[in-house]
Parts: sequence; C-alpha cells; structure tokens
Amino acid sequence: MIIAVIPAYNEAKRIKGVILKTSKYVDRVIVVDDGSTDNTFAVAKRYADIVLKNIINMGKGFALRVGFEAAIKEKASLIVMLDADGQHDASEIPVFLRELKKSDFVIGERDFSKMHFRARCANMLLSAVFRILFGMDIGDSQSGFRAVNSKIYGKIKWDTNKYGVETEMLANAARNKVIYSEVPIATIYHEVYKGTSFIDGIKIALLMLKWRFFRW
Amino acid sequence: MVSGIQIVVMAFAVIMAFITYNFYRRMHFKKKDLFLWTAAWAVLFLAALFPQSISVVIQQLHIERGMDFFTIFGFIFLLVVVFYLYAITFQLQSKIEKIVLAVAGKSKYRKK
Repeated sequence: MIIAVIPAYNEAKRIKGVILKTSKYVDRVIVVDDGSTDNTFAVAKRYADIVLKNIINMGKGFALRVGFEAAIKEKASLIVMLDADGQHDASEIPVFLRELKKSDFVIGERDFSKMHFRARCANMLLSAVFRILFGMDIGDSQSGFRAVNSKIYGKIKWDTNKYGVETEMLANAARNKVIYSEVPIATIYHEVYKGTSFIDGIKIALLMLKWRFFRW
Repeated sequence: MVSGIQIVVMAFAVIMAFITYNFYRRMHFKKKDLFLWTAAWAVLFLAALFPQSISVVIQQLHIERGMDFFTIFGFIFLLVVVFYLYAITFQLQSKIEKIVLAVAGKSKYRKK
C-alpha cells in the first residue's frame, strides 16, 4: 500500500488542492495537522483518508513522525512525504515510485537556479556542508518531497521536531548505508518568506555537526 | 559604613524576596519553594550587610577577596541552574511529546 504523509500547519487555503491531487497517485492520504489555528483540520477531514491533529504546534519533524507512525500502522509499504503548501507537485509521485524499485529512499532534487536568491544560497550552502560532512552524493539535502520504503523507516527515523528533519533523515540514511537516489522535481515557491529562515539554516548547520560528530 | 554596592545587593535581595512571595501568593510556588528561595535571598542580604561574616569561608578556601568568592560561586550556581533547567526542559519536552502523540492518536479521524 502506498501512503502519502502531509504535515500541515495553517494551510487551510492550499491543503484541499494538495490532498486531491496527491490522492490520485497513492492509496491513502494521511494529513497531520500540526496545531493549526485556521481551518486546516476541518478542510483536511473533508478530503483526506486519515487526519491526525497535534493539539499544539510541535514542528514539522514531530508531525512527520506522527504521520509515518500512522502510515506504518496502516501497513504502508511505500511512504511518500510532501509539503501541504503546494510546493511539491504531486503529479511527480509516480517518478518517485518508479525510482523506489531501485532504491529504498528517494529524494526530490529541486533546480536551485529557479529559486529566489536567499533560498538558493541557503539550500546550496546547506547541501554543500551536508556533502562534506556525510560524504553522501546529494544535490538537495533540504528537499521535503521524498519517498521511502517503509522497511527502512527504522534506519532513517529522526528525533528532531523542527525543520532539521530532512537533514537528520539523510544523516541517518548515510550512517545506516541506506540505498538512496535523487529524482529531479519542479521548483515551486508560492511565498518568498515561507519555510526555513536564516536562523533555521544556522541551526540546521549546527545540528549537522552534532549528528556527524556527537551521535552515539 | 554600608557601601553603595552593598546597598545594591541588599535591595536586589529584598526585591527578589518580594517577587518570590508574589509567586507563592499566586500559587505558582509551593511553600517549600517559598522557604528555599527566601532563605537564599536572606543569605545574600546578610552576606551583603555583614561581608566580614564570609571572611572565615574565604580564608578556608584560600580566596583573596570577597568579590572573587561571589564571582566563583556565582558561576558555579549559574552552571547548576542551567544544568537543572536543561534537565527539566528536556523532561517536560518528552512529556509534552507523549501527551500530544496520545491526543493525536485518540482524535484520529478516518474517512468512512
């Protein structure tokens, strides 16, 4: 069974479109409302197969963990994760699923040249730091559009509750020698200032050092 | 004669004792916390009022000046407080995670 996990925080305007589009390519859609203060939960309930609600905002990492655990309980064989803000084009899910026949962990790679300046710099820098620290041949370490074979969930399982989740997944994959690959995906930005901030970027870079040198 | 810095420290101790009492009055502190913190502020107040009273301790520890004594123990105290707060925050975070996870599981909505 193929299950999509969509963590959502205050995405009432976009979540409907994302769910409807995603449900065309997967068997079930799980939405985790991460303590939204708008109508995200109500909208998600109308269109998603399963909706879970965190009573307070815990962060993307936590919401994803809740979603993945729920997907595993639903006996998912393949899990696709994507953002609720429409930054990921669900019509690309079949590309991920095809790639999962060759590897266990597929990461969507965005075209940095199509990003606005700040995001391009941050993503290029973080991805470069990641490659140096972990020796993984990854073009886009911050992409949140991914697909995972549920068998290897234990090997990539993350502790972080916040934005560092994508990086920690990769760090764990590197440590546990998970077979991974990248597929090119569309680069879509709706709001210039949404997503990882400069401070988040610094925190992620520091976390990378922690995961590389102080993990035991 | 009481010097300026002594007055500052004594005033600080009195204000902190008052804030501590207010915390207790609003039931944010238990009686145990009230006694513990009030005792700490009282010690600070007395040490500022009678600086010579700590000279015995200072001599025993081979510390030159009273100011050095307060600096050293201030740092030690701060480190203990930071460690304690870190531990408490960590515990609270994992408790919150458990609660949120349990509530999320219970409020799970499944389309019919």
